[in-house]
Amino acid sequence: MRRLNDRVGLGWRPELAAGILGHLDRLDVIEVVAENYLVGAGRSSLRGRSSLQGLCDLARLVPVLLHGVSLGLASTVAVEPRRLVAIARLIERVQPEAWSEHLAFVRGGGIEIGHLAAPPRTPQTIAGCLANLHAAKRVVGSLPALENIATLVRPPCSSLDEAAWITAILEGSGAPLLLDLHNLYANALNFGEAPLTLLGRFPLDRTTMIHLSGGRWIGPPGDRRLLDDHLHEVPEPVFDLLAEVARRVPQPLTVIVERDGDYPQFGRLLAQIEDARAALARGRAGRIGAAA
Amino acid sequence: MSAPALEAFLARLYTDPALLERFLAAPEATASAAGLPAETCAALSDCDTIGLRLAAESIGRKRSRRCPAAGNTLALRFARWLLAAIGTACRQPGGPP
Repeated sequence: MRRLNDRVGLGWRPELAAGILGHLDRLDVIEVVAENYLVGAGRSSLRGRSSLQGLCDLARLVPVLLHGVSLGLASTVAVEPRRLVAIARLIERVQPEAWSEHLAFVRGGGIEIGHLAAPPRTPQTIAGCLANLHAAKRVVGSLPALENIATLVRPPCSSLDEAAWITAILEGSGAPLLLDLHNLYANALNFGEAPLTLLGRFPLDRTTMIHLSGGRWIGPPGDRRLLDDHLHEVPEPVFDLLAEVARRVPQPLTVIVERDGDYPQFGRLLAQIEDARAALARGRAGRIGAAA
Repeated sequence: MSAPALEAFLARLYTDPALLERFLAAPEATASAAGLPAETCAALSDCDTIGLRLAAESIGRKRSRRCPAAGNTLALRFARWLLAAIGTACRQPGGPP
């Protein structure tokens, strides 16, 4: 039996620093938001030496992944080269295991949206995203893992569904998938599909990383939507999806639990990490059983 | 369809509440007034208006929180101090790897 090196970790947030550093023996990997170490117009400069040294020291203690939130790769507009250069310099300095970005657009017509937005799912945005990924690989030296995003709105003027659009980008670029299971869960429920059905249409064979988080229901009665706010615990159905991914794919998975506020006692986050490990083990056991 | 122009219009819808209200009241006319081609305006007139409003409200809340609160700044300083302390320990002979 081949040993699978599934790993589970946590997203680095300043509020969680003491908990993380006090429990590194319970965390296999840490994910750090790249933009927290980039400053200036277009996030095109690295933070000061002392801040970066801290991040480099963290990377010596535990495997670190860098997670970008502001490139806006899924756009028909080219990513500014200075943004890519800054990411490249940060990666060169920190030497993370890997880096990732979102399949989102974050600006348009000179306006910064301030959040990840789902672009129209069309052949044009696929082509734009592929061009941006080509530029990213040229400047950074590697492709990011690409994360599916949550959306409260059906992306206007789309001609493709989410799974087909993502599959085309991953196949066209060769990039791996950072599968956010709460985003998938929210999109499925918000737009009338069973989460397991949507999961089955995703290119799971390209999944290397997984995000887990929580959210809350918003909106008018009769048309409520699940908001992925990262302020709540990972719901049980999302752990079930994690087990299902582990059952379906052979490759090792790196799982990150994300929490962006309303922080609970650190023990609760550790419990969620253990729940993720249990879901992975459940899925792997099912896989071995299915193969026997 | 001009894809960059559509992305720019969507960015405005997500960030400009007055434009969003005009659009929700008269989608095709508002899109047309923004200079989008007729085909795009027609497609936008059929969009998910409830989701659009919820998305814009959610983005608005995010944008209003972009200036970090004092607590967050303190946490950031504490985190940097912790990392610096650990880094110092790491670099001492016999310290962690």
